[in-house]
Amino acid sequence: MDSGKQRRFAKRGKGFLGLTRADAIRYFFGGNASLAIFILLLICVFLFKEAAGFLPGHHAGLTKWRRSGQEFVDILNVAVDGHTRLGSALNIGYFAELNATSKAEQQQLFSYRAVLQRVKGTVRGPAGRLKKLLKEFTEAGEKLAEAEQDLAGADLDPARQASLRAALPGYRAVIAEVEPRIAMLEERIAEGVAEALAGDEVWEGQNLVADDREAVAEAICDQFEAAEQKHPWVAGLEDFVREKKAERTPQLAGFKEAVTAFRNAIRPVKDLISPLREAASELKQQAIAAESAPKRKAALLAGAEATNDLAERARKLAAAEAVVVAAPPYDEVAEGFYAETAAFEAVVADLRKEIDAAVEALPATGELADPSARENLERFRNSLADYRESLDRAVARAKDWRHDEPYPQVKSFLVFLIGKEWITNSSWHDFYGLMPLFTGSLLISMIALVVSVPFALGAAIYVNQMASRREQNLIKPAIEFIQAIPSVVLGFFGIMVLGTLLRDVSQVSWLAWVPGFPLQERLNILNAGLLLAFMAVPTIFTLCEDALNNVPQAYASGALALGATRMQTILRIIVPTALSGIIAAVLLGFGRIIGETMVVLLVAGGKIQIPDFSKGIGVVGEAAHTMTGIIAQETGEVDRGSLHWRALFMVGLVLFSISLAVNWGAQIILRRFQRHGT
Amino acid sequence: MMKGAHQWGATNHQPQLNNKMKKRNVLLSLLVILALPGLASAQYKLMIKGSDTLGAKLVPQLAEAYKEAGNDVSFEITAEGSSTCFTNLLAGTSELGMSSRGHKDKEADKFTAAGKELVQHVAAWDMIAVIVNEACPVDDLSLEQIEGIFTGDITDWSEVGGPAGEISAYTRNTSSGTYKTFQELAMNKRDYGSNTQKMAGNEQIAQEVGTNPNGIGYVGLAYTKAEGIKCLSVDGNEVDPAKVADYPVSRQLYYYSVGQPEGEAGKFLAWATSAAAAGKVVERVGFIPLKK
Amino acid sequence: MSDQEDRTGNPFAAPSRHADRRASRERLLAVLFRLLTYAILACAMGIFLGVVIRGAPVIFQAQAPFINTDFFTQLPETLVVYEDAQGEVRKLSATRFEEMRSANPDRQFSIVDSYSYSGGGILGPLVGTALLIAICMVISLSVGIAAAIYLNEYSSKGRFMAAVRLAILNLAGVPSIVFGLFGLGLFCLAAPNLVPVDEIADRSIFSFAIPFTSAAISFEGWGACMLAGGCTLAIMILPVIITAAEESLRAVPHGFREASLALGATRWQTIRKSVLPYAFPGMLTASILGITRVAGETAPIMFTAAVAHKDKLPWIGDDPEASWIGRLLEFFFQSVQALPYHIYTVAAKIPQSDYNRDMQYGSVFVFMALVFFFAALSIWLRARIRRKLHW
Repeated sequence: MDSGKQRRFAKRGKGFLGLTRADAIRYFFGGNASLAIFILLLICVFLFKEAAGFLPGHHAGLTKWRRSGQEFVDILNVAVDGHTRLGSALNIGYFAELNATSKAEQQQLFSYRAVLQRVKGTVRGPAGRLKKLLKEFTEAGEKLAEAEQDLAGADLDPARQASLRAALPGYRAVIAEVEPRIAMLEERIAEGVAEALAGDEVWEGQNLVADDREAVAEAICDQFEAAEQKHPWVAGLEDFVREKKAERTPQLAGFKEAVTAFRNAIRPVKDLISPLREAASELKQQAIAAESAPKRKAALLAGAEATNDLAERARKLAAAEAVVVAAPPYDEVAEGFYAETAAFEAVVADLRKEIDAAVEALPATGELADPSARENLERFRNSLADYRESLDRAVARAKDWRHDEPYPQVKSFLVFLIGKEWITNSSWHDFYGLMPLFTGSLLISMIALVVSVPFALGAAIYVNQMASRREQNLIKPAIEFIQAIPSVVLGFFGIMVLGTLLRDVSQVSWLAWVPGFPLQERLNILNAGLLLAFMAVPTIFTLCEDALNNVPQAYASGALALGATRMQTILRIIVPTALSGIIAAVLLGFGRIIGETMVVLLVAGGKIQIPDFSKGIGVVGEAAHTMTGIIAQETGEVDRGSLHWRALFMVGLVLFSISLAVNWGAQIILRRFQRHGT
Repeated sequence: MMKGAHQWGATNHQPQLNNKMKKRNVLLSLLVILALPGLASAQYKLMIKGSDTLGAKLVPQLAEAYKEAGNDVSFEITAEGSSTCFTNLLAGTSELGMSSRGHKDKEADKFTAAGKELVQHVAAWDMIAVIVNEACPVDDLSLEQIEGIFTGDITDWSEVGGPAGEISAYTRNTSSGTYKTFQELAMNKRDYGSNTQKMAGNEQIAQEVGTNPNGIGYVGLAYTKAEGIKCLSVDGNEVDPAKVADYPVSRQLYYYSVGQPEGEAGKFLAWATSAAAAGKVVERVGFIPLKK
Repeated sequence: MSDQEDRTGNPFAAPSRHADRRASRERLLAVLFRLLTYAILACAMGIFLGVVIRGAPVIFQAQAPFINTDFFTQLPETLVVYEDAQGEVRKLSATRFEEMRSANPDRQFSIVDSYSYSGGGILGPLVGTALLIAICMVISLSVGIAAAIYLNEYSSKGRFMAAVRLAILNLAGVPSIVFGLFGLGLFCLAAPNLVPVDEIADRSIFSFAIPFTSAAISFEGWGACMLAGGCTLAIMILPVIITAAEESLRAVPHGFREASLALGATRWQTIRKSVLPYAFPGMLTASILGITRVAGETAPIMFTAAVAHKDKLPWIGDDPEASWIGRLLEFFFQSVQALPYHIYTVAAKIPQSDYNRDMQYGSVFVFMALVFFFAALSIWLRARIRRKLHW
């Protein structure tokens, strides 16, 4: 309808502020419609408002980090961190080698404990009660014995004697009452244990041969009967392990020595850094205190002014006097740091020598019996060159470091955008780097897409092209129901069911070839990804189905008329025609899952670290944290207006931008599709 | 939070305001109506905010016991981490705060700057227990080893005397008081390793450790009864409420108020920190009451 | 399509082994697509059954009234696990336990354990969710339908219209947690609020005193409260409502409007008398669809409205003598429990044990049942409208 026609037919109402009634109504509705734009703008405004101070604040924080010398310490610390990782690999290798001869026995012990734990879980209720009753029982018994002993003793004053005598029946009654209950509980526990051991559930994931399983079961039964004593089978195994270790220790003395030498080599570097660390930390505290000092002083003075109590006033004035407003001695402390650069270079040179000596002393990889030991040693040798290089870089950077060099604004922004560390509420320095969260979000979404797209697309093709009417009428509403499942319910399901299920499945031995299996965590990327895939299915399905539906009937008829089979028509004509719509559907599905909160908050595992992609597909077994998750987890808890708070709004802003970009992309693709369709 | 309700509902606690407002003219009688004073019998709403350690279990149960003892008070308890204790007290949106750590200077400064006084009240003792899965053969760790594990220096159980297996370390989320206290007491103030997993609450840590044979985490004493976990001794000191002073990772838990609390808040606080019945609740949920 | 395949696809060509193989491959593909479809439904069924099997026993019981009334009439509270004189371990919610203990003063009960939030019922969260939905729907429907009327009845193509449509589309894609942040920033921390002059918060962006009173308008926000949560949800759901309402307006045939206009009715009269009544069923469906979406959302209300623990219902005031308007304000400016947030709490913040499984699965079951009820209602209504209204 064009508005000219509408005007002609409209009855003119009374004017108000030069508006006719019809116009007023029109503007009212128009106003409501433009609210959408307004809200979008408001979202921008308020996200920006809260995030506003972040970049300057972040920059100021980084500047302080540099000026106070924390940056310098962090540069030096690279040497320590790399060394710790290497030392850890060596250590793990050493212990693996040490345990190599008793590995099977240790595994048996571990299985025993794991099964024992599960069995304990099944009888936890009665066991807890039994413990309590036993306590009551022994207490009553002790009291009874004590009272009897006192009574047996001579010269007791009659009043006390009488009271003791009066108490005796009470104790006896307790004992008499508790005793059968104890027996009953013990019986019940024994039954429960036997039942649990007979079932398969407690044995899941334990690779035990039948004999071992029997031994474990027997040991567990005994354990419940006499908790204090170790079952001989267990004790025997433990002795065996101890013996083997003792036997192996002298054989591996050389290895051990090399490992210790390597690990001790870092001592001088640590000794060098530790006073610097304290100095930098203190300087930073001073800087922070100095920032708020004028305000605090003013507040104290104002407080002193306001109070009538003379003593209080004097106290406040004194406190105000004590507030130091002076700028912290940056330059002075920095001189100290500069002076240590040479010392650092010298210690690093020593470190190199000692490392070389230690590496010489290490056994050759081929000499080792244990595969894990070999692997760790190999890892150590491979990373050694990198570490040496990082030492060079650290020395060079330490030499170049200047505390008064201004921190570039762009760099501080990049530290946020591509920083690898998100460390908050730290005693050292808070880092706000988005990367761990971003990669977490992205990885989980990608998994969700990879899983959901085949299902959703397959279902869309099936429902749109092949299904009967009745099937359509069943499947479409069913998928709408899936869309209605609240995300928090799925998160709940992930915690309660899917996590445990996935882990149990992953521990099945014939699935060990799957990368990443067996899973160690219940809450991990895979779990979250699968749940999100389930959430994305309805979105992608509906949009894909629409896209397929929009393909003109003539295309299909044409193809069929030319003799193509139905499947050919679908796969070669209809799907390619609808492709842009399908791509848009996938994009919108992606937009939906990357913004999903509750599932990832509950299920992703909360590890703020860039997933270790060196594991290949196995990376899905790791825990991760996400952008939405961090907002949900931390926003309610941080100080309003603090840098951390603002950082969270910045993350929100990033999410907002991603969602706009995804939408925009989808719309462009859709528009192309529409042109194609007509 | 709850600014509106506080103003217009619980008006009986602002007598000066009420008198002032009653005198205002007819034009704004609406506002006057809003402020009609309530009677003394009105049920008082006590808002308590802060630490999850205190607020998830102890304080709600104290509140229930307090009401059973015949006190006509209603409670609103929000437990979202110790930092919120101070922010809400400062904003005047809670009357009592709960914190599982002492206040930072920075926090006290804010109160001073606003002309308010932050007052600390010890609520109870707590021990932060380092927990592992029951299947884990390790029974004791030194502070140094704990530091190594949570900073990410030690990544494998074989390095601390266990069987080979990658350590999964579970920690609280960063604004938690337990997170900070543990960092100070057990980790030499070093940062947590990025391989640690941040969990929403004590319960979640206990749960994950209880189901992961390679897990390690820390929880308040109240949460050590969870299934499938066992407490480690630290440097040979066992987690034993009787020896709270020797255990290296024990701490005090606090209530906070602005100025000495008066009225219902004061009454509740006095009851919660000294009454025998309250002590029993404290013990039942797994903390150590001050007076035994 | 390649030539070769064209030829083999020719129905007049003699059947070849190649075609046989292809036919079986095609059948295989068809089976695959079918499998994929039913796999989705199977997953859904699995989740659904899992919840029903563990949740339904909590809600339904064998004796009259066949429904666990406590679960719907009590607030969440602590669950007490105790051992009675026979050594049996039982569980009761805190108030029931106290009742029983005071009724049997001579019997000994020892408390074994207690679990927060796991006893009682879910009345508080249910009521809170209902209120949030009500506030949200009132706001979003009035704004959304008005906007849809403009878009469909008044607007002409132009830059402004394109911008509005683009905004609506984009708004629909914004993650719910971002709406939560936005609601926190706007409603909780910056919206205008009426406060006594001497209690203006430091965070207030701008404030001015109302003359002759001790009150002031201060842009300091409402704090986390029902109204803030409802508004946040309303904004989140707005694009859904606008789109759906517009669709149902568009479904009303043009002839209706033309006939009305031709008879001399004004545009507004036309809309009111000959368009809206016919679009109403569609809008009803849209609003129910909206409820399904809103009811399930947790992220937007996490910081703006929800609390984990609240020991009374929203309409029970603190101050029995307060005036009605004071009460009304108090009512809207209080935080509430909400079912999704309650589920988050019982999923993540309490230990998992056999004793509190009932609360967990019971809540989830009721929540799913509610959401599904609304979803089914909207699906059914839509089908009905399609069947009934033929123009």
